[in-house]
Amino acid sequence: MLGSPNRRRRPRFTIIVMTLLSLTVLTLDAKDVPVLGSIRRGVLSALNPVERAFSSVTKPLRNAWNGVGNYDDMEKENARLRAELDALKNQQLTNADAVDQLARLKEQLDVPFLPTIATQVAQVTSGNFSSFDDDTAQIDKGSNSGLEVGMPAVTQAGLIGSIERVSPDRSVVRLITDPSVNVGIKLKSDDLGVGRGTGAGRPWVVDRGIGLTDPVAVGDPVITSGLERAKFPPGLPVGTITGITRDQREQIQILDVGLAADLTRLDYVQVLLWKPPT
Amino acid sequence: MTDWMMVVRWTAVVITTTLVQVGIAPQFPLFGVVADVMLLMSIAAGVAAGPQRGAIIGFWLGFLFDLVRPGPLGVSALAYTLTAFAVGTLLVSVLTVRRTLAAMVVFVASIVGTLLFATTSQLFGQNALGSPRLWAIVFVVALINLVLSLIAVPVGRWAEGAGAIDSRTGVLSTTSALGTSSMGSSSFGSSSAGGGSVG
Repeated sequence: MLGSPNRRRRPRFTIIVMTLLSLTVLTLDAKDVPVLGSIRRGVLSALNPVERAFSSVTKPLRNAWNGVGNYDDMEKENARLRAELDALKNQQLTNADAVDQLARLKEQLDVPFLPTIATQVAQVTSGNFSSFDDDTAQIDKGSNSGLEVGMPAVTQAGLIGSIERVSPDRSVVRLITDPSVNVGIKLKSDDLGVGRGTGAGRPWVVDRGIGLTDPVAVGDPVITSGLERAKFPPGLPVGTITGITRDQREQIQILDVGLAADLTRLDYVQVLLWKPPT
Repeated sequence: MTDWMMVVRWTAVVITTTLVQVGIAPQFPLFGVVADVMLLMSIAAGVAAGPQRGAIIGFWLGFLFDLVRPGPLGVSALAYTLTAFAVGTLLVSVLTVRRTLAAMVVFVASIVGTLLFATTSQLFGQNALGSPRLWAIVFVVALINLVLSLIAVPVGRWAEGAGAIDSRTGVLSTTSALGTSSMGSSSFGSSSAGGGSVG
């Protein structure tokens, strides 16, 4: 015997109610109801010190874990770094001018493509909470540091994405590898197009706006166009063209772009204190 | 009458699980995949507490997970609610759940739950199903949950306040044939003829 009909109906009633509640939350979130945003920001702020504490405490274990898991990659990177170090030592021996070296070092520290926009440096936190969030990065600065939703984020190499969510001490950056992020771009020939990602670890493509007769070549730089109402200011490096496919049916050229910034090894980023026009 | 001690225990489990997901899981990815202990605990709630309470626990775990993740709020809540309910329903007629059965159920439910989450995310504008690592994520999460079920299911049993596992046989008892608590109350609220409140 399974019990009275009322007892059999109770789980069904509960699942219906919980499902409807989930759908209600989804709908309210889609409508940007302020109270849900406030709750989210509050929870992120409350968990921020917890995450930092865990990150400090688990650092030795984490280093050992990552060392074991990424041993082959670390060996290759060590070899590459040793070769680079040897080359740098060689260069140092032949260039004894300390003032000249200091000037070059200072040039590397400055971001050459941001002469007039104020920036806020932020560090990428230890990792995303879910593996389905590979197209995002969490940084340790938020509204308390002047960050707002929509502000672009870059590294020394180039554009990485824009702020999607902000809490007082933390922000979420939506990376340009996300297929939902469109970036207005400009080529060396001043031709304009729109590029987008196809997911983390997948090619970044420009598949709109470049006609069959537009002059493009592998190796050409791709920068943000910064047109009116664009999400990013003009002149930010996006990458270089690595492949060209001619689509006769659509009468366009589809460009594969190697991103300038390495989105798999984000450490410090700079957030441009610039907001796209609404 | 509501068993308030059970409510307190489940609240502690939910909060602890959230802290583990936020503080520890991202630090130790396996093959680049972060563990999903929120899903694990939702499934464990379904195993230990039955479909009704499992659904409620799954909802709260999913809701808390959505609060800290980017993306739409409510996707994890929906996926984990349904997964926990399905697990509880599947086991509702099983009076004794051995460790091996529990582990197998957790493994399969983790695969289903992760795919359900990815599908729901895709429906609400995310690119989860299109992720190049989808199947890697699904199976690594299931593998991790299979191992961690040895801890999670007993924790769920403790929170439910049911009998201990027989260490000789490894058998763990469900609370009743219907999967509801022996006191006949719904969780996180007062009982009523039509069903429990949603807390």
